[in-house]
Amino acid sequence: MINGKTRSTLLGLVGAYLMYLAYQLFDGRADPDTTMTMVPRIVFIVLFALCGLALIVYSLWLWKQALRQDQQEHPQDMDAIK
Amino acid sequence: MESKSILAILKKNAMLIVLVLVYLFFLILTKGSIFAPSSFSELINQNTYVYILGAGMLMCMLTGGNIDLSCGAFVCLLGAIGGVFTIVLGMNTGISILLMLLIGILYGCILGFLIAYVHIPPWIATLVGFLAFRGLGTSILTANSSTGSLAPFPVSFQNIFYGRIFPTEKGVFNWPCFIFGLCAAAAVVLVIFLTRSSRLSKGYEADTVKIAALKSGVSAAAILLVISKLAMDGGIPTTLLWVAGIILIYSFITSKTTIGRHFYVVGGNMEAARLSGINTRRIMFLAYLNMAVLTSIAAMTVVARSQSAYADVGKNFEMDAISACVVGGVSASGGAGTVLGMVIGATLIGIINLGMSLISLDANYQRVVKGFVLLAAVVFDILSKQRRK
Repeated sequence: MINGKTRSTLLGLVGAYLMYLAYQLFDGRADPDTTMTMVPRIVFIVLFALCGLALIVYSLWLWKQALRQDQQEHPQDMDAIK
Repeated sequence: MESKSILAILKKNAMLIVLVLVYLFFLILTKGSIFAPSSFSELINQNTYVYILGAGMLMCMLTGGNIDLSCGAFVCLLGAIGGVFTIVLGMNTGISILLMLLIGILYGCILGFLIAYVHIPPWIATLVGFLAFRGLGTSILTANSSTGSLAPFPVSFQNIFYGRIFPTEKGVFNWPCFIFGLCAAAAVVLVIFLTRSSRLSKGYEADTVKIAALKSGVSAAAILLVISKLAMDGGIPTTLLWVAGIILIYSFITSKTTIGRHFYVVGGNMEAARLSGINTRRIMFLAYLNMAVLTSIAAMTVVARSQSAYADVGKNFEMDAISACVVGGVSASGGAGTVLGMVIGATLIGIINLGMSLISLDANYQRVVKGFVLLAAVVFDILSKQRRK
């Protein structure tokens, strides 16, 4: 099973990649060979940028939860080591 | 009970079913072009680096969500270094390959040491490589060539990483290739039934004879289909042997060896793993050393295929590898983190890329499709997690 931290890292990466795709779509606007018109381009840029940002925020929240869970599950073990 | 078990099988193999459906979709859209023998060769050759890097990235991710952002840039650097060895200095192919591997091992040792023993977060340690290696590779290329690329690599180098096994003319059915495929299919059937009888003899749960026969039949049919297509396209690409070898080795390591299980345990709970006697630092070190070695192999296959080393090689390779793991791993129904899952993810992305280029889809729309595939994988994962809660 994938744990919370793994999952949050992967989701964060997917979010970053979606934002990168949004940037690539924005960067490709000057391409003379493209068949994509302005309106769908803007729609996809906004969609990917927002979804990417949302995923990054969600992944950070998941990471915090995973850390909190770790601390709650093993405080005694941590004390024993000390 | 029957319908429940069928549903369970469907859920367990959801990504495989999606793969088949997407293939059928492109089969219709491309009017059968994706079923041509050349398309099978192209699919394997185009995605060799994804399978190889995906195996390494999976091992890093198993240790707790760690990744390697430097693999794409390292492919560029190693390609440039390989070009200098083989083309500029005219060194023997075998020695050049050995030196490239040694450089990969050296980098892996340094990276593994920094991450495992100095405790630098992996994303920072590998970000340095991501930023620096491409510049370094480009400098090496421009210093040794007026065009900024080094070509052509020697034929012996290309044959090792981009040749054909049992080469014949295209369009002529290659019988040695097909017999090789028959042996591979027979081996898979044997392994499935031997695994089943081993599990039963030890008292574990095992597939029924019907399910084992179905799995064997489907696997053998898939192998024979791919091999017969490759047999019509001039023989088995050596890239397929590299990919198959790496996949088999890592499947074995992750499922049948103690050290493979240690990767999962460390990723599950590092502190618990350490308290139970597992050398967690060594596991982290090995994960990144392994990734560097696989990146070296991927670099050799890529430069052999393009027959040159150039500055843009390796761009987005790390994201392709991570996407393969995410699509084939995270979005699977809980059995995530397997080599087979990564292979399915990589193949799915490869089929989508190949299908889009066969229908000559605009590059911007191809990006949109990639984005939606990733979004779909993530939404599926989030929804299945919520349903499980």
